[in-house]
Amino acid sequence: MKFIKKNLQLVIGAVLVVLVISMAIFAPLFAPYDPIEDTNLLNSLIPPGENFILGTDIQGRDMLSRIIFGARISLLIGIVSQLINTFIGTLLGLIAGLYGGKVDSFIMNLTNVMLSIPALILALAIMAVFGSNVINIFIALGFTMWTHTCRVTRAQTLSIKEKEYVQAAVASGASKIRMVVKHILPNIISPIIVIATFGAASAILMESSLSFLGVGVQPPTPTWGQMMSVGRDYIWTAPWLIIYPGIALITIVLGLNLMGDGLRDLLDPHIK
Amino acid sequence: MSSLVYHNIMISYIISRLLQSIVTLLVIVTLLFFLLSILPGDAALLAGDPRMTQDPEVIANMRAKWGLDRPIHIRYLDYMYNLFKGNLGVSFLTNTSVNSLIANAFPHTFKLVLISFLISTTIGIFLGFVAAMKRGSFADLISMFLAIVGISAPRFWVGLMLMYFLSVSLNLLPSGGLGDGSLKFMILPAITLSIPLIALLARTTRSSVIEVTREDYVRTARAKGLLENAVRIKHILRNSLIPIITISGLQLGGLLANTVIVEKIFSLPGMGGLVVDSIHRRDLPAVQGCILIFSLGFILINLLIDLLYGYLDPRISYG
Repeated sequence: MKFIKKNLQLVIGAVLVVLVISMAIFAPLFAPYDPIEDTNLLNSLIPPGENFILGTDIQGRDMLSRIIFGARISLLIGIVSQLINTFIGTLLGLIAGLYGGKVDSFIMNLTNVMLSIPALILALAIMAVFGSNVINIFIALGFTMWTHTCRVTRAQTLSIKEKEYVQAAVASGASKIRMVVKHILPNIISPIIVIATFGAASAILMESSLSFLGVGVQPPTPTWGQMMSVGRDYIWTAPWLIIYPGIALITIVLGLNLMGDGLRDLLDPHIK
Repeated sequence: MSSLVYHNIMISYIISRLLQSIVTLLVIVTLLFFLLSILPGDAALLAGDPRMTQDPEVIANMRAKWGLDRPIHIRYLDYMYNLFKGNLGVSFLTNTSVNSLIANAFPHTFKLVLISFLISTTIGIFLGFVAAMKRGSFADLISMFLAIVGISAPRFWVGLMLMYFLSVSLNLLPSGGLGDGSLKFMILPAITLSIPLIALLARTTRSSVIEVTREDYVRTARAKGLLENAVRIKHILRNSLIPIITISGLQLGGLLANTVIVEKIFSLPGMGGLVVDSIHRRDLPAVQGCILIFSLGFILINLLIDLLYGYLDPRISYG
């Protein structure tokens, strides 16, 4: 109880995230209709009501079912893109910190270049060059958001490398890999988890923006961003096409952001 | 340190930062050039009239016209040479110079970003400061909850909701376009662009102010009997500004990038709309020119912020 009271943000965030994760996993159990196949033009654009709690889209498909299945893509994008970003960021940060010199300045310059192109515009260009599909979304979001992790890892590596006990270990013959695994990784794991949590939230937001601009995951796979993008044309007559997918999206992003805040407070009591 | 020495250090710092920025820009231009050159689908073919593009002779002519038949390294050198002369090339699609496309679009975007930046910093810093001063109160709790929701909501969703409630339902504000150019056409786009930044700045200001409040010099200032308002403005707010400025600067670039979304929602003619349209139509020179301008904006903003630090916090040295 005391833990819940002290880490309210973390708990609320985790509840929201677990809610969306279970929605994604058990989608076929929750969804009253099939999100792709159950089209019926007679049911086109029915407002939220008895048969269709959240209304129907232009092809007569149940919005609730589409939103439930849409959770899968959003979560997948959040998770996969952050695995890639975390891997790239940590690896480059470790290399920069351990080897120093020219390698370090090359990696840091690369980071500066990455930071000088707005991530959204870069992702947009990548999607346009390679085409709109899920794999390319992973690439566009997985290769563009690693700079923060890289900087934190490098800074930690530099400071830990100089610590006396680590110097002593190196002097007595410990390998670089041992130094990384025993001393550096344990120290960077919590900031990296925090960064990845926030990163997953921004990746999900970014995917929805890309979908909105027409370069995201293509139909028929239901994604929240794409549903809202279609809904934009019907804002005058069928606002539910935009309102509910948006609320679903905010739920997961809010959950992740609250979790990130909570984790940061929990893991690093210095910052608050 | 004598002021002359400080002055010299400052100048050499500025020069080295400028050089660094130029190198960064060159790398970006090069990377973009090669990234965009591997576009699948023949750009010349896509830019042409679809009725004529079946004819191989026309395609060949078009490729020759745009110089796409030359080897890539020649094209690169040619592009760089023109760039040094300030020439961004000719749009495949409109046959006009990219410079003029950007010159037409940029003022609209600049205006939108500037208004949004003023709105976000004023409201965001004010809210954060008030929340920090009334820390733990109900108002603090509510505004911080709203702030995290504001960060979590996609901009286009917020924009569409504002459009739905304020223009479609209540008919208070225009739903898009430039109209007669009056300010009321900018209200919804500017608010849409601002909301996440207001939220972020409120959070940053709050935590920065709370941290500064704990510093010894604030206690000293209070102890020596300064008026509470003087302590708050001169000591607390001024010293909290550094993280606030960092975030504002980083996010100013974000505002610029997000005009892509806002200009699309509200059908505004600007850089954002230009870059999206150009990407969809594979108009390479225009895409490249736009991204270059976006990056240039980003780099200049960061440079300015680095220089502002020294002014605000004399403890930072440039040595």
